[in-house]
Amino acid sequence: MQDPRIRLGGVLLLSIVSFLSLTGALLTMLWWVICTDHKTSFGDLKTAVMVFILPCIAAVATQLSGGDGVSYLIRISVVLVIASWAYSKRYPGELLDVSVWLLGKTYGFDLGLVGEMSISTTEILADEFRRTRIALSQKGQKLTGSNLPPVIASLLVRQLRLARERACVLAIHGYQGGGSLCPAFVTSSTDIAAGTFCVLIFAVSLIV
Amino acid sequence: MQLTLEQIQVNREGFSLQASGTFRQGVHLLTGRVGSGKSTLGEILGSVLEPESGMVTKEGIRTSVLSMQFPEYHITTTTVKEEILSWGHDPDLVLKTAGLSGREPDDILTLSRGELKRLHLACLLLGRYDLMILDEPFAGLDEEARYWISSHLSDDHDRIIIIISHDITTLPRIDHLWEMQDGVLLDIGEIPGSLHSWKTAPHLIRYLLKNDSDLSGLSWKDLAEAVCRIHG
Repeated sequence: MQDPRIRLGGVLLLSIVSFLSLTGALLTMLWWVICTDHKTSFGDLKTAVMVFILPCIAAVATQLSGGDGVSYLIRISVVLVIASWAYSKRYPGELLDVSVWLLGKTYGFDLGLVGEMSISTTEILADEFRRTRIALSQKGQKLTGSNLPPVIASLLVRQLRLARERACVLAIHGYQGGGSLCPAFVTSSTDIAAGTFCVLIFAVSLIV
Repeated sequence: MQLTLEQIQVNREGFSLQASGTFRQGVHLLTGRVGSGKSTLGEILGSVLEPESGMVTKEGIRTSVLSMQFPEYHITTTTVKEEILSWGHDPDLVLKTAGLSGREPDDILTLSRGELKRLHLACLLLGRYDLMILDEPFAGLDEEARYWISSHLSDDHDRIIIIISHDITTLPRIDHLWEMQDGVLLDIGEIPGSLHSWKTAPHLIRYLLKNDSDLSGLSWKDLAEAVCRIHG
């Protein structure tokens, strides 16, 4: 799916219906199987296990306390899968493009910029954490309770320094709020078909 | 003692890396453009990244260390003393080597990048590693500190030292030259023998080779002597 407007809008609708009903979750899964290339951003099995472990714990707790834990687990898992698919398909700048297209060059630009910077910070943080693990391995150590506080402090300080550098760059460019951007999108016929299917699923889920 | 790469391959998001070759005892320079895959290869050499295919064979190498480009990545403690102890070294000796005597109790994050780099490199130089991979060891250092690290590395040819750098102005004595070109590792050869066949040599080296055919190496001393000979 090339058009980020359809991708993000579709994921928003499908996340809502998946979370609200089991039928919506199952239809969303069907959409994911038919309309996507089934890719996710989990990377490896270990990451996937880490992502799903918290919902599993919550589902068990819900089931033990008399609720429908199985339904909760299926619904939240579908939300995570399509969110992961949408993330795997993102390209740098797409949030800014969509936000400006949707909300204009003032509020849209600011919101898009915040979104882009947040995602980029998350990616940098993940990369820095990987490097910290390398650093520990070079010293023959592992991440433990005793070295976790200094490691986190170091990561935080580096993130704060990065934020300051970014703020300086924005100030140097004269940023005060809003900005000029003319987003361009490529919309294929399969994008339109997948988007229409999303709307249908949303409508059916609300009716059923 | 040697490190051999056999048909190493890594593919990620439109980038492909291929490498084969043997790194023997001595100081190696791995150079190439920014983004050519030097750091990725460094991680493979340092056994922190598994290649998708191919084999890395170590013979006679018992201990190895990878120094990442930014010294901040290596911080895992709170104070300067604790950081040195985390490498298993004597704080006094490391601080003296790094020229930071008296900074033991300081918060590690209050050190400038240059000071942190000196401290980090001093920890590595005082370690007994058979294989050292130094990713951009001169980045963030002033001229004096660059000569300091170069002089330490120039005297160290009993192990395998791989310097990953695109900065060729303050190098130690280099024994072997490698180059990454668009993700492919090229074995340029022994120094100084292969200097004349280094097709993508930086402008400074090309200029010196053109005007002084006796260029005997890539160390800053060799470059300075070549410049002096040209100007009489």
